[in-house]
Amino acid sequence: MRKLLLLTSFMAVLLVLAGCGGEESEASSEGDEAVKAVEVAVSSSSRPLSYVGDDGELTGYEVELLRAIDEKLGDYEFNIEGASDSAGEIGLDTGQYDLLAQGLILSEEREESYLIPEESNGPSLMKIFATGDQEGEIESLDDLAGKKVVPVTPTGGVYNLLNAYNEEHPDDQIEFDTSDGGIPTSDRLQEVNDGVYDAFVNPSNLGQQEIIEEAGLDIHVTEPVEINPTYFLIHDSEENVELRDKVSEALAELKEEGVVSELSNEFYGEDILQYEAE
Amino acid sequence: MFDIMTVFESFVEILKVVPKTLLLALIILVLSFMLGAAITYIQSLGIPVVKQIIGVLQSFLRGTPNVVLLYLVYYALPLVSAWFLGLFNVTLDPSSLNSTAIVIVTFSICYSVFQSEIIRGALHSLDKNQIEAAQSLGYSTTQTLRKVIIPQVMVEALPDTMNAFLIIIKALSLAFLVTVVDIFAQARLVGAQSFSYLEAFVAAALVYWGICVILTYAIDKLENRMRRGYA
Repeated sequence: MRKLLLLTSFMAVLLVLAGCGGEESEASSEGDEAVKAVEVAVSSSSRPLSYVGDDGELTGYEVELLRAIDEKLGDYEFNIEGASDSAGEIGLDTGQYDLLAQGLILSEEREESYLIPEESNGPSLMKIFATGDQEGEIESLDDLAGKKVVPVTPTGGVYNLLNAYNEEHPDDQIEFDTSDGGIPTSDRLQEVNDGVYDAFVNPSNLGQQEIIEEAGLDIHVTEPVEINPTYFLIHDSEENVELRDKVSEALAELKEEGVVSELSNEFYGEDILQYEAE
Repeated sequence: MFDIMTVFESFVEILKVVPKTLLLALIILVLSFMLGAAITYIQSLGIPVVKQIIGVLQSFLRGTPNVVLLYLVYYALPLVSAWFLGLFNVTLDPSSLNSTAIVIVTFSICYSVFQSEIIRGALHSLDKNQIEAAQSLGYSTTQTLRKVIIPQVMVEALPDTMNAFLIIIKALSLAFLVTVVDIFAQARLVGAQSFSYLEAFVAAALVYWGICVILTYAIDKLENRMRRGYA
């Protein structure tokens, strides 16, 4: 009996593994008629994008936006879960998550691999946070050659941005190291303040302004060096096509109703939709 | 979506950082071994207050995860070393401290505790009568150490040390926190470029495993050789 159990569980594992290679449509097919469960992965420590609030519940701009979408979509039920950067993306690859929200900007590879709603969920503003005395010296990416730049995580959009810049400007390379995203934004800003690094390229929607004001740091924040719309990424499967279209519709409605601007004001202190037109 | 060719390409890319990772792990192993030997020696002397202090330190290091210590050293080491060198009127810019140095210091301290336990265990396996016999033959302390104790203790400690080496290699994946690129970090970089993390991580697993297989084989051979003449 025991052997039989072992054997069947072993077979089950094999089947699951085999399923990973081929089509993986079984994963989200439970309860077709009724409410469909959508597994959503968000970052759990990217304040104010998505983070764990004082009450231990996930909250943040994207989380609240997702909840608003969830309310609009009667047929779907979102299960929002916190996951680390690369775990989220791998989970989306394998179909463990149906939807990924990490303030993600588009790239060719992402467009190929995932379903992407037509409507963005707001723009991400890339800004440079420079040591106070670098004001006038560092104003755009062109000024970063020869400067000490805060290490960049390979999963982030900053990595892609700097690599793309270096490809276009072979004579004017920005030198930067890569590192795990473990050092908090507030400590990175402190390091820039102390002159350990000259400049910190970062999407400005991570609450930096709050940190700078609270800690009284002497930091020069540039105008946005790049404005990118951010999107929710959806696991590529036939069933999710409908989900993508509905999410897109809901986003458009929420923008019109002013809910997006409201959330933006609540979490960012400004209406980020004003940058979207550019 | 799982592409075996990508695994192969990632594998080749990852191999490039293997020598660096192994060297780093070896430096850490040697340093932690020396530190561990020192700890074992000091503990064996049984000096009242010192013994307790080291005991507390040992239990602290053993009970805290490497990643926490790495954070602490990352923040504290530049300040501490600048202050320390300042005592000798040498000025050091705290920010100029190399991140590799931070990793080496953290992991050497971390694993010295485990090494000291390995050495202690190996010492225990040694028959006390052998030392008495050596002394009765007129061996000096250094001679006893060199001719009797160390050769045998080395053989005893070898498998565990080898184990520690593998653990260090794997633990180095944390070093990416402070920009040191090891096997796993390289896998993440490769994965980020092609957006195929799964393939890159599979390749990384294969690289780790390959290293383990080769090392185990080599150490087994070495151990057999060293045991000859003692067994």
